[in-house]
Amino acid sequence: MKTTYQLLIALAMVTSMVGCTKYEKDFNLDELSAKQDRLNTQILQRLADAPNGWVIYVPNPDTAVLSATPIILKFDTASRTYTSKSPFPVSNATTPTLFDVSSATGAPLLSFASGSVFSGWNESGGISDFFFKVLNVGQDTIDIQPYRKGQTYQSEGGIPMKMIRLKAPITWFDNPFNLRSLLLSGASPFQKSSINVLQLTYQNGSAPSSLSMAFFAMGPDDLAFLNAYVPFNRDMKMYPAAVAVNGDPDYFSLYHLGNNSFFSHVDNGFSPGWLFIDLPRAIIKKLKTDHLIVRAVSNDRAKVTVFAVDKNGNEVITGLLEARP
Amino acid sequence: MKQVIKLSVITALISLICFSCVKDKQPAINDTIDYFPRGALRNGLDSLIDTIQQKYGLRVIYKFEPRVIDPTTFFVPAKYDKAKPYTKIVVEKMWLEPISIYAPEFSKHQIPIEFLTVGTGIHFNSLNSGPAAGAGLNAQYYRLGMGDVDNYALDRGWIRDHICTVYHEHAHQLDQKFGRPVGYDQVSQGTYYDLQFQYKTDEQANQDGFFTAYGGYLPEEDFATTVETMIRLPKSEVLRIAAINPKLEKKYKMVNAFYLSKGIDLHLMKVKLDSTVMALVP
Repeated sequence: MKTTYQLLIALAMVTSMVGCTKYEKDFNLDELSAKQDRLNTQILQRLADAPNGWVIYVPNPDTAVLSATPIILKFDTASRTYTSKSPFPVSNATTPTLFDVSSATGAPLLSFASGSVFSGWNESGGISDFFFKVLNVGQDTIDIQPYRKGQTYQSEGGIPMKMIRLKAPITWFDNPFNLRSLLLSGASPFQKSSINVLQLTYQNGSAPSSLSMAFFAMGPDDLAFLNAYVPFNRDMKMYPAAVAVNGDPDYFSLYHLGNNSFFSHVDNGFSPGWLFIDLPRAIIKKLKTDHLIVRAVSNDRAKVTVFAVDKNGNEVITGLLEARP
Repeated sequence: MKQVIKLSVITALISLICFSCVKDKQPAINDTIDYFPRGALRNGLDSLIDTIQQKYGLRVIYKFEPRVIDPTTFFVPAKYDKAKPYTKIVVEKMWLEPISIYAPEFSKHQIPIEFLTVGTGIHFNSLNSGPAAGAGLNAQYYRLGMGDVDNYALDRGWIRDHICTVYHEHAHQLDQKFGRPVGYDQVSQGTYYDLQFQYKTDEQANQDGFFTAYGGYLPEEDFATTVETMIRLPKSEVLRIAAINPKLEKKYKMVNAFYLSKGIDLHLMKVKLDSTVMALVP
């Protein structure tokens, strides 16, 4: 009997030990691989299922900036190409732009894989990466996050943003305005005027802002330099001009013209700082936006109505740029 | 009763032993988890890249993902419509093919296995954009990366100039792989300009024992610019410049011998590249 008890005790011990050595594997690589495939397929199907395309409102890292920059995308999942519309003329390039959906570290990865508006803007410092973790896929939204923060020695993960499925087309960039001619040609009211005034109002109740602006064309040498070396001009194809604000013609900032937009752009990689950094930053701070999208130009070409939207696509800034005699 | 207990215990032990002998299912280890999509659609450039890889063992990478660029690099992919002709004309026709014909041993052993087509400049922080190439990227055994691909044009001058930079960058790779020739760094030791090279002319550099002002920056660039000069200029001109300063002549001979030992005559390649570019862009 004593032996039996000893055996029972031994059995209990063995059982407990065996019980402790077993574990539930939390993953199976075959299943993981299949799951990633399923996720990637789902994402591709969702990207394709958008006749009007998608829009990403890319927020500015500066939280004082109310606006976000819209990039409209249409995906052709059969050829893994996409087209874009944006305030940046590079979106009009005819080169096929490629994308991929692939597996990455812990999340599917949406890569704008070849040179495009994303890589150009990344190099310009406007968006922190050109490949994005896909965080969540909903019926009408896809949450994405830039893989990197965009600066040396910073951790992974930029500002999360949403791709929103468009229920109706966005036409903001369909009819380009000739802003170069409008603001810089000798016959332009904005060159003949005594003063040009930009007035903006804000939907969040902030006090309206007003800025007097005198526009200048760049000389050929400056144009050549900017178009050859400055990513915002070279890669985004924004046309560089200069603007003197509030009546100080000796202290002017770069001001960039797209087909349908004006941009103040801070570029930390170039000097002099007042031209590339300080005054652009001051203009952005004053206007609470780094860009304005042109809604319409009056028949006499002396009034330009502008607006900007926030990261949800809501119109948060409206305004008028007026050439006053 | 005692027998029942004993029987139960023995049964339990046997069951336990059998159960313990059941092996876990071995996790399936496979190579399917990767950053690149499986079964991805292929375009004309993909096919060209496959062909080049099969022929020369080098794979051109034109799509950038986390596996391709690490978090501390800030260069961007080339546009597709530039990367495709660049791969065909520069990588295959101007670089790999002539080397495989006129320097087969060099082609077999010294060509990297990856080649990145970078759209603009190569830079290693988020602020500063570097020039067309980037020694930092190319100071590794297996991968060469070239910038400025978005500026590719089927232009004889652009292609001929760019291939000099390719050889320059590849020289950095060979430098990392083998080290510079013994005694090379001692020839001009103490006379390198460091960042003062920006204020020197090439003529001044020749007098001081370097082929270019940039070559006077430091020994790594001295080595690479010597290679670049040998690909750019006729042999007679290289010899004329080398004769300006005994140090320069000594280093030139070291570099020439280094490359000959690897199976490539840079002076011959210069001639062949001239004729190749003429054939490509009549």
